[in-house]
Formats: sequence, C-alpha cells, structure tokens
Amino acid sequence: MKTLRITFPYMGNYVHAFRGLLEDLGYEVVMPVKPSKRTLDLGVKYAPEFSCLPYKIVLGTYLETLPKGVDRIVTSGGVGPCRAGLYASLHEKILKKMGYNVEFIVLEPPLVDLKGFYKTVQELNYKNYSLWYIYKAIKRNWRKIKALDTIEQKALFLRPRELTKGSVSAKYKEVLQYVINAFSEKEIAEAEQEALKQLDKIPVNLEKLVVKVGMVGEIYVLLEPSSNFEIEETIGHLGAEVKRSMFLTGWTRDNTLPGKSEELVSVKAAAQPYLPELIGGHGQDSIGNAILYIKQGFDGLIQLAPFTCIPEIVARTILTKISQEHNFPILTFFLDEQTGKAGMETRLEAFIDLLKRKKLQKLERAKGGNIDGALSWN
Amino acid sequence: MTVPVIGIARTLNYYAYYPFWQGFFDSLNLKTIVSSPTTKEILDQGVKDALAEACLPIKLFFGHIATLKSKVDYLFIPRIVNLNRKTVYCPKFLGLPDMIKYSYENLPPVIDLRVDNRSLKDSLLIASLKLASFFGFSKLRGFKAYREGIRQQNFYENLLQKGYLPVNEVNVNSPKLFSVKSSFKIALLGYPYLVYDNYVNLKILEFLNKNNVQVLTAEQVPWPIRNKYAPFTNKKRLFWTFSDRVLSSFQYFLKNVPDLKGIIHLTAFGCGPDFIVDRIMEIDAGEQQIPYLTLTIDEHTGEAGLVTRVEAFLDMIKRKSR
Ligand code: SF4
Ligand code: SF4
Repeated sequence: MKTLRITFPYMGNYVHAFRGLLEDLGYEVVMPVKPSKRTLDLGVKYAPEFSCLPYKIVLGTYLETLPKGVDRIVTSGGVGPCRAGLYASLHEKILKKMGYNVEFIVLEPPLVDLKGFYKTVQELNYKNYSLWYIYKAIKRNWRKIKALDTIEQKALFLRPRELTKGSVSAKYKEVLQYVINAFSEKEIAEAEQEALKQLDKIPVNLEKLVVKVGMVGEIYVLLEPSSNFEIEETIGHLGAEVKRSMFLTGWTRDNTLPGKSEELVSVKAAAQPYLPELIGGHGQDSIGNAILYIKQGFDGLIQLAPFTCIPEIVARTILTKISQEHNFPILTFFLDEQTGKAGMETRLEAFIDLLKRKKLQKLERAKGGNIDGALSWN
Repeated sequence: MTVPVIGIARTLNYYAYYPFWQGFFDSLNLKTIVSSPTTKEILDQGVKDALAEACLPIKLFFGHIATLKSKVDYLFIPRIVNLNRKTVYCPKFLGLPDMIKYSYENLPPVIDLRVDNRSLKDSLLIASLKLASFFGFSKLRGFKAYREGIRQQNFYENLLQKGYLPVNEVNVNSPKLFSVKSSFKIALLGYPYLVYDNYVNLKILEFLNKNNVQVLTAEQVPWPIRNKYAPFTNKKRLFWTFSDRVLSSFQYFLKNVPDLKGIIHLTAFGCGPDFIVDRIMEIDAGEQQIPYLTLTIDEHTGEAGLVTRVEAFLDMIKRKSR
C-alpha cells in the first residue's frame, strides 16, 4: 500500500507529539513550518478579509506545506457553537478552488460525538492497525505532550527570576529537544527529568518579588506563540510570571474524558454568576479563570483574542465589570495582521509597571510603610 | 394597580420574533414599548457604550437599550438559544443579557428567560408560562397568551413568505410594504436586523423596490424547504440560526430561481460568522456565474456611496444580460 503523506496545522510544541502519533499510524509526515510573516501574508492574501487571525495563519500554513505534496490534512473540529468547527470546511473549499486536491480529516472531540470520533480514528487508521496498537501509540504521545507542558511551565516560572536575561529561553530551546527526540514512555520520562534538571541549573533569584499575571483567551492565540508575538517570553523578560489558563493536557482532558477534570468544573462554576451560558469557544473559561486568578491573589490578567472573536468579545464586556468590581487590572489584546510586536511591548511594559506599583503599595500598606529591603524587583 | 411597562429593543430578534411576544403580552394586557427606529443618535450611543471590538448590530442593541432603560419597568432580553432544534443563535445573542447587565448601572430588572428547545422540547411554552406567572397570571392565561403569540408569529411568517418587507416596523395588522413582482430578481441576503432596518441598510431595500427590482429575502423561503438546503460541505451546516438561514435560502435561490439576476450580501463590520457565509456564497455564486456583491456596513458607511455601488451593480447586470 502506498504510504500517505499527511500534515496538520502548527500549534506550539505539540506538533512534535502529533508527528509522533501520525508516524506511528504509518504516515509520512510533512511537517508544517513554524508560522512566520510569510505564512501570515499568504493567509491574508487568500483568506476572507474578515476571518480571524487563527484562520489566516492556518490557511497560510497549509499553503506553505501543500506544495511539498500532501494527501491528507488532519485537524480538529471545534468545541461548541464557534467558528473553529467550520474552519476546516471552508479551508477545504478555498483550497479546492485553488486547485489543491487534499483530503481533510476533521477530529471532533470525543465528548461531543463518541461514535463520530471513533469513525474518524478508523479513517485515519488506513493501515488497519489494531486498536491496542493505536491505544499504545496515543498513550505514548500523550505522555510526550504532558512532558512538553511540564517543562514549558517550568520555563514560565523561571524566566522572570533569571539573573541573565535570555538564559532561560536559550536553555529551554535546548532541553526541548530531549523530549522531542524521545520515543518510548520511559525515554520520555527520562528526558523530562533531565530537561527539568538542566533548567534548574540556570542561575535565578528565587527571593525576587515577582508579579503574577494570569492569561486567558482563545485557544489558538494562547497556544501558538508566533500568533501572539511570543507574549509569554516578553512578559517573563519584563519580570512577571505568567500563568496560562490553557495547556493541551488540561484542555484535551476536559474534552475527552466524560469525568471532566476537576479544575475545569470549578472554572465553569466561577463563571456562572457572570455568564451562565456556554457561548462557544472559551469565552466562559476566560471569565471563570479570571475569577479564580483573583481568588488566588494574582496581580493582573491578560486576555488574548483574535479580532472579531465572538466569545472573547462577550467575555471582555463582562471582564470590564469584573475588573472594576475587584480592582483587578485586565489588559486585552485583540490580535490581527496589523498588530505589531513593538506596540504590544509598549502596552505590556506599562501594564506590568502598573502591576508592580500596585503590588508595592499593597505591601507597604500591609507592612505599615516599612518595606523589607529583601523585597526587590531586581 | 398600574400596569408594568415592558421594553423591547427594535433590533436583533425584533425583526424575527416580535409578533410572538406582542401577541403574548397583548393577550395578558401587559404594556410593551418598542424603542424607536434606529437613528444616528441611537447608533452613536451604542458605539459609546459597547465594546469597540463588538459588531455593529451589538452596538446598535446597546444604543436601543440605552434609550429604553429609563422609560420602562422591565427590559425584555430573553436568552434565545435554540428554537428549531438544529441551530443556535450567534454567541453574542447568547451573552446578550449578561453584556447589558454588566455594562449599565441603574437598569430596570432584565427579563432574561432562557429558551432552548434542544434540552427541553417545549421550552418556549414553559418559558411563556413562567413569564405569565411572574406577572401573576394563571397557567391557563399563560397558555392562552402563548397560543396567541404562536398564532401571530405564524401569521407573520406567512406574510414574509408572501413578500412582506417589515421595514423598520413589524406590523402584522397593517403590513405596508411588499416586494414588487418583476422579472428582475435580486436576492438581498443578510440578517433580518440588517436587511429590514432602514438606517442600517441605508435604504437599499426601498431603493431596489422602487426601481422595480423584485427583492428575494431569506425569510421568503419557508423553513421546511430551507432546512433541506442547509448543509454545504462535508454535510456540515452552519451552527448559527441566522447564518444558516442566509446560506440555506441562498442555496435554494441558486437552484430554484432560474431568472435570478444577482445576489447582494449585506453584512455588518465586525461580524464573526459572516466571513464564512460570505466566502461560501461568493465561491458558489461564482461557479454559477451569478453576479455577487458584498456590502459591509459600518458606523461610517455613507448612504450615497452604498446606493452608487448598488446602482453600478444593477447596471453591470443589465449590460451583461443584453
Ligand atoms: S473562538 Fe474566536 S477565534 Fe476561535 S473560532 Fe471562535 S471566533 Fe474564531
Ligand atoms: S451574527 Fe454577526 S452581526 Fe449578528 S450578532 Fe453575531 S457577530 Fe454580530
């Protein structure tokens, strides 16, 4: 049987796990390249003017990969009544019109339609591997995703505390390779340990006073750094710690297991008084997480959303009120192809400064005006 | 006892479902006020009060609520999630009562009954009974009011199918404007709150009608027929009710109106779903060689400019068919 060539949208480090899984299923993987200016330009050229940024980036990615010869594209549907679920259908239509004959396989989350999910998996499984084999392949690559998430979170914690600016990012890039190259679960676990160990060796100041920023928003712009101008790195370098509300291990779990992860149940509960309705995308999560960050004593919140993103616009309208009620600074970036990194950095700098000032004032008040010398921003 | 006054905004769901609520409230002798037709002041107010990134219709809704809120005892903003058991309303509709509540101070109580026929088959009836009992009426009175609402709504939908154009006002008792009959047929597709609002559509609907163009609207195709034309690719259909309405009627017109001369898609700046709707229609109309024009309405679109574009579009069609 001919070996099929397959590709998928680019999404953060996770592409390495997707690649592993598809190779296990007997595909030749045509790796998508990390989205660049060229990717976006291509997307902007061929996508409808008012489509959202993720739509354009993904179309651009396809247009970069397809000339290399691709038989199939696998992508995810969407959760709830939002546009992502229709992305694939329109991408397909546009690509067909441009003369690309490529087959789309759209994975819908199993929670929404278990039978449909099973059918799609069987469609993907064109070499007819046993279910046991597939189960093991999924398990192994799932382990990889978890490892990728773990070391990423570590980097997010260390970055604002590093003594030499840039040292965490450099090391992080290096140790990621350990995990990417690991194959068996045992190897992945070892690579993860080694990566964490190496990261721990970076000189940091753990005593440093660091403001904590929560980050919520739409899934693609949260998970793909090139779509948000590496905002997490920028924030880290400004001396603030970011906690992102979404990691694939958390998100996918919520959508795959009927039990639902505990954390998310409370996110929904926290959003309830403000937005009782599931509005698609992750609008409700953005609100719920905002409330949880407030309760956990975070200093501020950043919301990332593509311009014209429906659920995040609803969320932002309500977040404005939450921000006033709790005296909790919230900064929203509506991203489109016109967003520039420089402008974004300026706004971030001002925002982080504000958070630092607020935090100092609060500490001063608590300490009766005498602030401990050990507490310093540097 | 004074009768409470219930405020209804003349936009969004108004053009689709007002007859139901009117029939319902009238039957209970409750007083309703509908905000006045859209004006520049209303839009400006909405632009000020709503989030800058929101779409034009949501801003408009804010503007209408702003003019209503001091005049009424209750604001009626039901959360209509699903009615036909197939599609849901745009997520912004679903979050409407919350967006309003968290954006204005000193609001009268907001009636935000939830209607979702997917989880509960008769949820509109149940919501109606709840609403009636909230105002102190018995189940029987509530049921009668519900029936009256349904009657009015059916009557309205029949009128629409016959070509009634409820420009600025939904009036089932003395419908004013009907689409002219002619061999020059143009489909004017878009959400009812764009197509029938004279301020928003920049009077295009009236302009076409005056120029002896037969205007086909999505509302002219009855639901059972539309439903058959809904899926587009991969057997998928659009999730959102009004988008689905536009696309399915488009597909119906394309296949069943042989002398269809052209299609005008009216869309609002900042609309989420419309880029999908618009591109699908553009590709499909192109394949059938039917002229297609997209008009995007924003806060600053000038009337003259838009009418000129429509005129040019009509001229192009006339030249082509000669
Ligand atoms: S959540 Fe936002 S960005 Fe994602 S599909 Fe929906 S509208 Fe587009
Ligand atoms: S369908 Fe479009 S125009 Fe209508 S409320 Fe939703 S985003 Fe706005």
